[in-house]
Amino acid sequence: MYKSHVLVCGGTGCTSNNSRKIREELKKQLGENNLQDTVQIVETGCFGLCASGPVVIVYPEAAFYSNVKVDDVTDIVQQHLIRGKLVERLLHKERAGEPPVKSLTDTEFYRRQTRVALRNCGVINPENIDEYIAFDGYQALIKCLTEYSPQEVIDIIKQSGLRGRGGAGFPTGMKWQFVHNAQSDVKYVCCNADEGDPGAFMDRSVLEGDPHAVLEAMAIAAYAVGGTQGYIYVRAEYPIAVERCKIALAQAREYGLLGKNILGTDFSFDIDIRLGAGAFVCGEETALMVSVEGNRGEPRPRPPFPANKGLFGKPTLLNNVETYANITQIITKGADWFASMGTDKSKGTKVFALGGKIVNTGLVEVPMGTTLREIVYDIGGGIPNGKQFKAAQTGGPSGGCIPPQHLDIPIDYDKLIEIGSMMGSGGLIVMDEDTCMVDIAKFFLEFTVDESCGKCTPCRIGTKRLLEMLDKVTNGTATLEDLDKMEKLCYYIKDNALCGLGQTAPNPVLSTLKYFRHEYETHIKEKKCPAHVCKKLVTYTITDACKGCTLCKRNCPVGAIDGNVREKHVINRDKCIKCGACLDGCKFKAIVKE
Amino acid sequence: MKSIADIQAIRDNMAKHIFIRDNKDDHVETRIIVGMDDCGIAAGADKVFDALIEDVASRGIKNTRVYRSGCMGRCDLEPTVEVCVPGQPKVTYVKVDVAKAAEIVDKHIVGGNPVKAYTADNA
Ligand SMILES: Cc1cc2nc3c(=O)[nH]c(=O)nc-3n(C[C@H](O)[C@H](O)[C@H](O)COP(=O)(O)O)c2cc1C
Ligand code: SF4
Ligand code: SF4
Ligand code: FES
Repeated sequence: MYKSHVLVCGGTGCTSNNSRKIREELKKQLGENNLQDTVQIVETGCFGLCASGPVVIVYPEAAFYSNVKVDDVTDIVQQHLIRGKLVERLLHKERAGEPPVKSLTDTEFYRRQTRVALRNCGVINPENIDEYIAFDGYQALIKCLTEYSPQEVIDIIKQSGLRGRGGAGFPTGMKWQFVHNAQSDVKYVCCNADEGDPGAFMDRSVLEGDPHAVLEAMAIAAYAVGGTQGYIYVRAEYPIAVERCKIALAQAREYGLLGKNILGTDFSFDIDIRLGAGAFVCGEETALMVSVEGNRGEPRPRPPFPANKGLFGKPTLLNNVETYANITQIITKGADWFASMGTDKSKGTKVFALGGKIVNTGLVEVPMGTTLREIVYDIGGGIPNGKQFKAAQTGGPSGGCIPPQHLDIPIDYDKLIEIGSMMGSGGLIVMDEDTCMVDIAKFFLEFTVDESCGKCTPCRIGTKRLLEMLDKVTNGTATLEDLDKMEKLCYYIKDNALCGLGQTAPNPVLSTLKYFRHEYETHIKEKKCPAHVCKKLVTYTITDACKGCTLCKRNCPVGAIDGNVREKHVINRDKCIKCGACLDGCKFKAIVKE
Repeated sequence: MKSIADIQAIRDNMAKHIFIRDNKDDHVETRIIVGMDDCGIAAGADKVFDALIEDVASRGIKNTRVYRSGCMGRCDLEPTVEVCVPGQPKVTYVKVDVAKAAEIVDKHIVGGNPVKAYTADNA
């Protein structure tokens, strides 16, 4: 029996920070010290604190080491594993100056979370089915197959109040019922792991950290709706997730948890993986199914809905990864337990991917109804460098920006829509005072213009025109009438686009116009960008504090600065490309950006 | 191809092995701290630690964590084991061996009665 377990994060974040090398080095040193039989190395999925990665946790002490480097392995082995002394300098510190907290679960970051979908991420080795089983894995499937009828399973999901985590928040139980009711000898059960929102990575983390949870839930769904074959549609840019899914599928088949006559019952179901090429529109349900069929991923009008005519024309259930990740827990702990968390119409928890100007970049899972303030400040650790919170963007390119006056609203599906944003998949990008809201709207619109499939005109042409108008604002060539025209075009696109991509594409523009109209107006009337982001509206000037050190002149890549030694220098505005090199280098703070 | 009984057997079999990572359902925990370091190890502290881990896991004692620590400063009395039960004064055992460790788990951790004979005062 292993007397110590060393968990090393194998999520994408930590892997890109060399965690694989840490594991190899650890293995080597354990061997050299003859510890390979008493110390187990466990490669886990993401712990959620990716900004502090690579993360290493040593049990039994639950010592939580962050920002670990390959060179630190010697100390972990020699000091901690052999001599019992925690490696103080590696212990994770939540806030500067605080005494180091010891275990991950004792951190403020974890204590305020409720982990349901992420329960096994960072806890188990996702490549070992026995560990999943040890943490009650496949118990929910066994319970369904032995105790419940398909309709009873659907009723439990309905009672739980679970809504789809892929964006729209459609009641999951109801969707299952539609597919259950559809008459067909072949039905498909699909998992949407396309995860196209820039900034969202919760689905990737679930597949990387706990793939069996998704497989088990898909099998339960198939039992409930009469599914015969499953597909996981995952983007090829997620190689670790794809690999772990493949391993999990092979193990589940070997154990008879997938395939013919599962666990000796007369229920049969198997799952295959389909790789997507990473087009945002392929996350849309009808486009996804066309893509799985091997055709170009373009949406088609609904009805018919996939529940009746989906993949290969057959009734098809499609749920998001995170939606599935909740299912086994609802079955084992009961619908009432799940419904006891969250708000009136949004039950359970939601995973958010925190990004942007926030201390704890990473993944958090909180009950629905948690306020934005709690997420940003208490769990997220606030804004770095003492800057001010300006807005939070949720819902990715389909969502909107939430201004400071709404920091205290309880976040759920309906509240977010009420204030002009949406849940989307749960990306949460925090912006500080240095962010230009027009620029942000432009960023998301550029994304949708790129990702529009081009099938319908309102989206293909409309978003392009909208982007041109935004360009005019950031160039200082727009008029106030243009703002009204923009708004009109937004509503036109929303009302006429064929699929959700086009219908929601104007949201980032509309919400910034709603809450930050003054910023648009400053760009237009004063030809200034208040956050000094829009290049065309920014000017660099050298003030009298200039000592004539000539540094800026030498730094300027285009020779836009004139001046002799010990004389005040001057910037030639026509030549200046606004790269900022002069300002960054000036030791006398003599260069200002306005 | 496994049966339902096989899956349950895997779960039960694995329980002991993952106990070290997951034995908490409460915020407080009982701590059993073994002084390791070179002096402790020379006196057999590593064997005591291994035995404690195994004992706690195979008996499935919840909310109890075995810790290693550095030298506790009483090298002459190694191996030392401290037991901290929430809400009770800390008890320090000295010159612990594998057999004594088992007795401490049995009487103190499970039974709730410190084994006076092995404490520092009686050394
Ligand atoms: C443009 C567009 C992109 C989408 N991308 C995703 C995605 O990446 N992942 C996802 O689960 N759902 C995505 N959806 C939502 C799906 O169409 C569908 O509603 C969802 O997968 C259903 O699962 P759920 O009910 O479990 O949320 C997208 C929708 C649109 C319109
Ligand atoms: S709205 Fe955009 S993405 Fe959707 S079908 Fe039309 S062109 Fe394609
Ligand atoms: S901003 Fe760049 S281009 Fe302009 S003057 Fe400074 S260094 Fe030269
Ligand atoms: S990838 Fe390691 S903590 Fe997220």
